[in-house]
Formats: sequence, structure tokens, C-alpha cells
Amino acid sequence: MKKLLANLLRQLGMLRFDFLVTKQDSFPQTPESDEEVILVESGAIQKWACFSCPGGCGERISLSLNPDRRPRWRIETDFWQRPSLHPSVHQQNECGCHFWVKKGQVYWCKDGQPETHIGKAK
Amino acid sequence: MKPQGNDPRFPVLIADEGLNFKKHVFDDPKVLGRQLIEAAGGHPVDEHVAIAILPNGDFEDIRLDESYDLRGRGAEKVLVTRTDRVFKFRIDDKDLEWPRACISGFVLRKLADLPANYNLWQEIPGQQDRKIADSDVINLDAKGVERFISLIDQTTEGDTLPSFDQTFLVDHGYQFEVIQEAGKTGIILKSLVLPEGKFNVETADILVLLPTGYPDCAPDMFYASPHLTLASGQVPKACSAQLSHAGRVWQRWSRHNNAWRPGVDGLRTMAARIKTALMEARA
Ligand SMILES: [Zn+2]
Repeated sequence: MKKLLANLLRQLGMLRFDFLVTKQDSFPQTPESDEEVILVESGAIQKWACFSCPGGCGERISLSLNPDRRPRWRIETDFWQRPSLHPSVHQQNECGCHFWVKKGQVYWCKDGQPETHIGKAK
Repeated sequence: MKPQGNDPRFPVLIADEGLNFKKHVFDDPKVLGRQLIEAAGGHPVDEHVAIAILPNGDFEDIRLDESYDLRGRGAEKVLVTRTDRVFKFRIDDKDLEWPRACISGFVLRKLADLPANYNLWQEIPGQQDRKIADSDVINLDAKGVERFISLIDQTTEGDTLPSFDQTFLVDHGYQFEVIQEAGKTGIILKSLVLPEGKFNVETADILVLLPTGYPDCAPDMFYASPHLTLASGQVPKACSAQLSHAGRVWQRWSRHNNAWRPGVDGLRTMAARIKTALMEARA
């Protein structure tokens, strides 16, 4: 329900987001939709945040939320289930995407904007 | 003829299907599969198989009456398991089976045909998933062991240094480099000026490794490159160990920190501690 409302508010220009969180208790088998961050949570333990790279390369990104491992991330969600991720996400593959996700929105770091890479590839 | 030496006998760790390893000692590193199964209490012997675990995690079956040179293959661990069952599990969305209760990370990788830049994880409901190393041995018979996932290793944390640390370093004119290696974040303070006339060199690079949980947890020791000796030629106290990191060999300065204040202390505190340690260094 909330998701429907969030989408409606977005259409009306009243809410901004690129991603909303969907919770799941085991690791997703099928790729996520482009606007979804799958939060894998089992028991009370947050394990993974999975989503497709927002740079358009389509790579699947799985961030470990295990506090005892490196690298590791934290995720917070607000009322609308918009995720904030900390720290930033830096892809080491060709796309080199580097971005923050704050309140469901993607903020590109200056060294990791996809335009520059897409421009090069074309 | 008995071999010479203090302990001429050959110790082997033998695991049963529950993966409980027990030490057994043989007179000769060449053993029969049959002997290994009997040692582990496998009954009847011909419904069991002994499997040598090689140092890289690969498995090798040892036939019942084969004389197998454990030492020659570098195998110090052996599994004994029944041969009449099949164990099912999944890697990602692939259904697989294995004729033994136990499997190693190496063999799992082979079955999944994983490229080198993928890591294998065991999904554990209610707990953090476990990263599987090649030499790990997994008991497929244990409850809840059915699913593994493979993940490409190509994402890093972008900004790992808290912004107050970045501000401190920049404001105080430090030249520094943040290096990620083997999952650890290290800060190298470059060409730090040392107390005048105290050491064999005037400047040195200082490495601080940030522990998991930093800045809530304290960095422990620090490291210097090149190795520092006092003007007298002596090595400072508690500085004889070394560490390889970021392609260099560092001198470990074993100085511990018992008074870290989470939320307050950071590289500012660490820099002050380093300065004090260098000033106070004695043989
Ligand atoms: Zn990308």
C-alpha cells in the first residue's frame, strides 16, 4: 500500500526517490527491478542490500551489511521505505560507478558519474 | 626400521561425518584407506570411504587397500564418510548433489564453475552468511545447509575515512594516502617529520590500520617505514616485529591504547599518540 502511495506521490512530484526497499528473508534469486533495493533480513539480522547498478550497466550489486566484515555498509530506511546507504558505493568494474544513496536518491560522486563512461563507450 | 627423531610417528586429523576432527597417530605416513576408516570407527568398513583433504582444499579418495602417502601429498586431514547417500544443495539457482556428507570450498567452487573474482557464501537463516574459503570443509548433512550463493567481488566502500578525520588531516597539513588491502583500511601519513636528531632518518612514513568498527574501536599499533633506529644505532623498545602491507615492509611499533573514547577520538588522537611514542622512544 505504502509503495503505491509513494509511487503516486512521486508522479505528482511530491516525493523523490530512485529506490524503495523491499524486505526479504533470503538472498534474492532473480535480479531486482531497477527501482528496488532488496534488504535481506533474517531473524533480526540485516545481511545484504541488493540492487541493480544505477549507472545503467545493469550489474547487480550486493552490499554486505555484516558489521564484522569489510567492506560493509549500513542501511537506513525512512517512512516511505526510501533507503540511505553509508558509506558510498564504488564499483571496481568497467562502469566505475561511484555514488551515494540518500533517502532513496542516487547522488553521483564526481569521479564516478556514468555519463562520462557511457560517453567513452559510444 | 623405526624413523629417527623426537616424535617419529605421524599425526593425522580424521573427521567423522559430523566433521569432528580427532587426532590419530600412525607409525608410518603411508596408510591404507581401511586403517583410516577403522581409526574413525566407520562400520562396516566397505560402506565407507576415506578422503584426503589436500592443502588447497581439493579432495582425493583413498581406496580401501591403497597405501596412501599422506606426507607426500601434504595431507594432514582426512574425512571418513559413508558411501551410500546423496546430499542435495543449491548454488545460486542451480540444483546440485554430492555423494558425501562433507564438501570443501574448493570442490564447491569447482561444481559451481565459479570464476576467480567470485566469492562463495553459505546462506545461514537467522545469522550472518558465511564466506567460504577453499580449504573450509562444510557438512552438508547438518541442518539448514542447503543453499550457497556466489557474489562477484567488485564493489568497495567509497569513502571509508570518517569526514572528521579527513578534515583533521587536511587542516593540519598531513600528506596522506588511504589504502585498502585485504579488506583492511590503512592510512599512510607520508614523510612525517621525526624528532630532530633522534633517529637514523629525519622523516618516515607512518601506517595506521583502522580496525573493523573504527571509529568506535581504537586503532592499536602503528607502523613505520623505513625501519627506525635510534641515533645510538639501537632498535627502539617493542619495535622488532614487522608487517607487510601495501607492497612494503613496515616496522611495528607495539604501543597499546586503553583509553579510546568512542565518538570523540579519531586520527587526531592517534597522531598525538604517535608523536608521543616517537618522542619517548628508548632502547
Ligand atoms: Zn554501473
